[in-house]
Amino acid sequence: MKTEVQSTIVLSGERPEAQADLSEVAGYRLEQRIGVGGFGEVWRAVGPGGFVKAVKILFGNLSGLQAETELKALNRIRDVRHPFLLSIERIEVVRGQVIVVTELADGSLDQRFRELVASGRRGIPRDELIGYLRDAADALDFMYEQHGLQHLDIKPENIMLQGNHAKVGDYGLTKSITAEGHSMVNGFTPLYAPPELFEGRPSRASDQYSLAIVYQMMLTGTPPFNGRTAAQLTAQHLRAAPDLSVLHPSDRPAVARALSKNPQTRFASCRQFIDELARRRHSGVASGKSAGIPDVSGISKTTELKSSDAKLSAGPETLPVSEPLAPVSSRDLNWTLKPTIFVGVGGLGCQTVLALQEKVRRSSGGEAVPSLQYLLVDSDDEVIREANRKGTDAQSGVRSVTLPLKSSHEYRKSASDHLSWLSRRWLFNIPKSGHVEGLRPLGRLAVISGLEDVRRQLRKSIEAATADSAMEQSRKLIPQPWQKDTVQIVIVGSVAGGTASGSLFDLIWLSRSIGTQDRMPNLNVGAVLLHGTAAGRSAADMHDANALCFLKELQYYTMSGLRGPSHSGGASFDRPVDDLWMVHFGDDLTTTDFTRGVDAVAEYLQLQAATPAGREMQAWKAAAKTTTIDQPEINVRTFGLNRISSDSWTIANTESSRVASSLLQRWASMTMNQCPPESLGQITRDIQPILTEFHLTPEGAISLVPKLVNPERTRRLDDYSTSLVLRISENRQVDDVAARAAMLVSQDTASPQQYPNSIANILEEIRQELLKVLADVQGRVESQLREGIDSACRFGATDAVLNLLLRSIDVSLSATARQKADLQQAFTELCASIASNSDAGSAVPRTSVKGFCRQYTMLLVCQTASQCVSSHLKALREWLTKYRSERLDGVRRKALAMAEFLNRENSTPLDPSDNRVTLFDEYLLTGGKFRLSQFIGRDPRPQDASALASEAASFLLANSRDAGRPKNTGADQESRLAAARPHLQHVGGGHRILAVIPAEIPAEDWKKELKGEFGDCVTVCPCPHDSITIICEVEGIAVSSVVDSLSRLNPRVVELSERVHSRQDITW
Amino acid sequence: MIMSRQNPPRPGDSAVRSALLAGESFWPSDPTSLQELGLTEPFLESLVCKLLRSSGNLSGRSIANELCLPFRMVETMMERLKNRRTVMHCGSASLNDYIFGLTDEGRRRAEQYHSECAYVGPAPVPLQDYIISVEAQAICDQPVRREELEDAFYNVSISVELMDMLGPAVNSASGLFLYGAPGNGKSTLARCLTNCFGQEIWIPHAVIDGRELITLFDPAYHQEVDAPDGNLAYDKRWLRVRRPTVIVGGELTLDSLEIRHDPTSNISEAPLQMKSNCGCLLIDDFGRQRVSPEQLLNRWIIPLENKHDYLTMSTGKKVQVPFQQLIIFSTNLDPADLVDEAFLRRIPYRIEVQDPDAAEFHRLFQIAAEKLGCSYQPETVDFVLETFYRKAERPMRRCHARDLLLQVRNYCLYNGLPFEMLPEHFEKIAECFFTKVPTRPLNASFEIAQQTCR
Repeated sequence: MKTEVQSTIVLSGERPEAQADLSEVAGYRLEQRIGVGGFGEVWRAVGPGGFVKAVKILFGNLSGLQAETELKALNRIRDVRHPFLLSIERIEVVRGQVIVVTELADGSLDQRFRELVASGRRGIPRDELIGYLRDAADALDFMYEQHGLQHLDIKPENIMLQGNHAKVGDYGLTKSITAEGHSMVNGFTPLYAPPELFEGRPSRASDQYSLAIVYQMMLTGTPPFNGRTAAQLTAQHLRAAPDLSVLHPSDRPAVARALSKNPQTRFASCRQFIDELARRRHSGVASGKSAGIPDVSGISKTTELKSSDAKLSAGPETLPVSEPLAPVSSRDLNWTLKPTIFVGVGGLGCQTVLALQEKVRRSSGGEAVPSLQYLLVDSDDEVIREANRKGTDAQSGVRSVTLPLKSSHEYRKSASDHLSWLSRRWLFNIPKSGHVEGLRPLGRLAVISGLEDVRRQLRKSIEAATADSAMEQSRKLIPQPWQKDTVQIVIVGSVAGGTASGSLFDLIWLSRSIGTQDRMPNLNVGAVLLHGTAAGRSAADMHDANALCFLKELQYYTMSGLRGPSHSGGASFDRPVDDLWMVHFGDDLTTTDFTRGVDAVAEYLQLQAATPAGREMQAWKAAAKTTTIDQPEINVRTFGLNRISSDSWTIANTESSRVASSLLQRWASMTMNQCPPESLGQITRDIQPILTEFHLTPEGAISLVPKLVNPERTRRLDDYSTSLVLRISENRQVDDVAARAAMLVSQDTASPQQYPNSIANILEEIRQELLKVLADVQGRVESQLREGIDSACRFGATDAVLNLLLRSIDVSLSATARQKADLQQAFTELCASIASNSDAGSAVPRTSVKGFCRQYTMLLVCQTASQCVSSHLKALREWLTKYRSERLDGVRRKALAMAEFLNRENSTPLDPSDNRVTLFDEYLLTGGKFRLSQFIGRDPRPQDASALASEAASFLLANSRDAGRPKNTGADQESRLAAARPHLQHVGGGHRILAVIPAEIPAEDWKKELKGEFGDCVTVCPCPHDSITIICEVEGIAVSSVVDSLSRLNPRVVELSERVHSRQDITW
Repeated sequence: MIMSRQNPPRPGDSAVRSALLAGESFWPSDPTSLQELGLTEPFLESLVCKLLRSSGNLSGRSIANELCLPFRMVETMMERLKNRRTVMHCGSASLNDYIFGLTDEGRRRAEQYHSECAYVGPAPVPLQDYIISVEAQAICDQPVRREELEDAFYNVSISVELMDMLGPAVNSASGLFLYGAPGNGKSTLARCLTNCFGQEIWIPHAVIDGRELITLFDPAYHQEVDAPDGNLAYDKRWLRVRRPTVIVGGELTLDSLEIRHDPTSNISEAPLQMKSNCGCLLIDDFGRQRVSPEQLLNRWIIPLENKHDYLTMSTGKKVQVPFQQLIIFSTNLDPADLVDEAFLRRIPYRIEVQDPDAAEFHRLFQIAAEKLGCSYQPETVDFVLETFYRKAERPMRRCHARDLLLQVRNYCLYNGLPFEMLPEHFEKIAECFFTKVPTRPLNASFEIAQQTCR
């Protein structure tokens, strides 16, 4: 260093920036000033050989020791070489000024941020930003790990960009953190400075703190600390908790940890922090459902709004959407119903099977169909116990096997059997609850230990289903062709749980082995894989990981030629499973959502196994088999299903008019007495402001007169009374002042132009004002009445409003009358007193005349004004009465007329207290479109009545389908169809639609609508069924694309899924 | 199993699940009930009384800390004891807690409890739980691969051939004989071998079977470490320690391989092999023990065969305890002379640690020089080799490099000379380093051992 100090080229100027003509420093030709900071300024310069460099000239005149210290600091980092550190090429002291020459970057992170903000973004896209910060973190960790240095001034301006990489530049503060007691006099940037820096104690994790602020700032444009001054920021850095609300929830923990006040609790390195951020890629689920799910327009919206997340959440867009497939004719198909055993595994699987059993039983008149048998297998006896409590037993076709986990200690005796495939980790950590708790290996352990029980029960079920008597009975109950040469086993279970996901394949092999051992060549094994994640991130991750892991195992198990496990007899099958469905219920589900999903799957299975709709499904399967015969990988199917109970459909169409009509009648008959007290209270509270504002209370009405005779008018009256006094005094002979005044006043009334301040003019003004008030009050009252008529109380509310108003007006009127009488008396007394004055003989003194005139005019005006108020109130009263009799009663009549119009076909109207009517009434209040107030002004047309009826129809439909569903969704036809789309989308394949419609409902309309929604792939199957069911089945989905889709939607779980494999003896 | 509506998962279990999914092989779940604790109410009460007797008045939280029990369980227990007038409130502590002290009645009881069993300290775990934990954390769960072994031996000079012999032996997780001349680093090898199992394990402070309490945690062998994730709940009665390496030398007797019962305090101490479970037990200087090699080896036959050991309690009850560890016999005697074939069959791996050759000797000097902080001079090593080994026909030992250099350092320090590898220094110290103590032939010590046994 010494040599360099000595080799300094002496410059002429003191401060370079002051030298306009100075164009060269230390051999570098300065071209353009790039920036000025607290330390100095940076120039773009051309150095020897024409290389473009950045030259930084530090402010401040350094001499001797000081220069040497500064240079020592800079020298420290000169030795630090790293690809992501802006390399320093020269450090010199030029006449007391430190010159640092570095390579020139393309720009800084700050510039990039500004560019993007200018183009309307929130900040730098997350992936890009993390890329830059990863580079910076690399460099910073290197600085610390190799040289024990902290940068201490990490901010967007100091992170330079070059190509696609970032380089950390501007080592202004760089300190060796092992060195003791460095003063922090040099300025750092308070917005990004870690708390320990304010206390002069930088630590190993100081840069990490700044990096975290840079991350939030560049991603969102909002810093975690909002202080405006350095003092505020200092206080916040030291004490306040950072505001991370603008960040995506999954980012917050990592950023919060990096922003810990205590450096010890931050990440071990910057790199670790960035890795943590990168790992927390936002899943599509978390960043709004629209990302993964049906609505394509929703995705594009998200993309626009959250540009920074665009790359991440847009994943599913690029995956293929299913194509419509041409309908397949089932005419030539040799189709029969087959004896089927439904095996429910795990909680959700058992629920599905039980729901199916209930459906079949109900559709066959409450009798169990003996050729359909059900077997429940679960490690947790909750669902099975519930089923047994409800009285399902072998008689009704339901058998069950409960396979609880034993304690680790019990398994220890036979540990070696299990340890061949199960890790010690699972075998010796069995939860004390004895439940599988969603862990696949434990699920398999539970089932494997009781596999012989399952085999026994499954055999019994097969025997029961294929017995001749059972076939006979089944034919009777479901009059369709039945054949027992093929037996179906359908295994239903949730791949997101533990039990089913871990053991499904063992059960499939078990079924296969039964087929071989019992010589059943036509054993058809199918599996329905259910998936859905519950609310809560860790639970959802676990579910996704389980499903992902299952699918990976599925890919392995379905490789052709693979031999089954020893318990299946070690046989090899080309295809262990003939039919495979995977149904995704959705994410973030509640218990009700699960129940709905279970119901849909049960419905599908029922249609397939016990109705003629199975023929169509079979035809599809046959068509799929011929087209994809030599596919190496197994395909899955998925389906969505929406069910509209045909009862409710009929009811909706026939009953809607009756409901609407009854509702109208009910409305028309409503009176104030039917209003609940709290509504009346509310009405009173609503009316109160009108009463006070428009002086409709007794006090208000009385106070109205002084308000009308306001100071301005009083002054004008004074003027007028002065003119009166003059005119009275003109005639000296006058003795009856009162009569004279009266005469003059009435004279002036006749010619209003002569005296603009005359009593008559003023009174006219008052009258006009009152008319305006009347119009206002009418408007207000009318809107109140309209509101009332559309409220729950309908005519009761309007009655209440009117009654309240009328009562108040009546009271006010009597108060006004009293006021008027008082004024009258005062006036009479005044006249009498002036008369008595003149009776005394002498002329009335001028002063008394003056006083008299003032009082006279005032009293006269007040008296008349009071009269006006009174008639104003009377007019309002009259208007209200008329409004009631003409308008409101008119609406009442119109409603009745409409009710009659709607009820023209049905002679028996519904009881107005019918529950549906009440519910429909409530529905209209919250989400309906029909408004009674529209008929205040106009007469109803027939379509108005029909509109109400159709609203009633959709309400009834929505309401009958599912009581738990919000009443105002799914009401309209479009979403009713779209609800049939399967949740598992964007995984390719082709879809077909099957509409199962009861014979009595015309199918053509439905077919047309369905074609419009789904394309030309619709088959309509008339079927004796209790509902209209729309099934959208997607076939030919490659398992790998489901795996892709799951891992792209929730990348966090990929690693997790590696840990939950059901067996450790297989290299997946 | 996706829906556990009525029984939402307990928080403790989710901690276990996360820990296991994060790669832990065992996780003691935080107990929520006496049943999960596996201890009886009277036992816990006696523990509390004894604690108050020995430590004076304590707040509820301190009691919970001392006994390593969840505070909520201690809280209800203290309430019960107070109602029974065994303890009383002596003041209030922060966070809705009290300071408890013994009543006269309580003191009387505590004395009685103390005479029954003097143990005061963290609550024990049931023996069954301990057994499961050993099974879960056994070393044979994950096979050791070459890279892991290389990592474990990163700072030791070891030949590739030796390492390739050690690897499979370690994976067998049974017995292993290390033999060779003394001073060749057999003990160091054994210590490094434990490292290659990596990972820490959970052990309880003490275990209990019936009324018999056995203390297990021994700071001499168990080095405590922090739990990996501070946020996950665990049973505080368990400690996380590095995998233990228990080294015993000539002092080993058969007694120390049995539960040692102290009749006055009624506390038993776990035998060595129980302390070294899930780790490594090194019997150093095998053959020099007061007990004959046959007797000592016979003691291991059943455990090595069955992977469990039978221990006799003070009550006479025999319990089966897992024997999950790598047992290493290190000897400078020829194993063939020590034991018969029947036993060698049970210890399938016998590895000889040979003397280093000249090149390795150089390397050892280099490593030692680096460690001690002097510059490495190959010429001097050549001189040493020539003068003290080849001429004197003295065998080279691995420890010599370090020991010689240490003596040189001490010599330099004493004489105020700079610490350098100079031949003259070595000449000065050699005299005393290579003193002519009459050394016996290899199997002479064996004869002596046999004589002592007789």
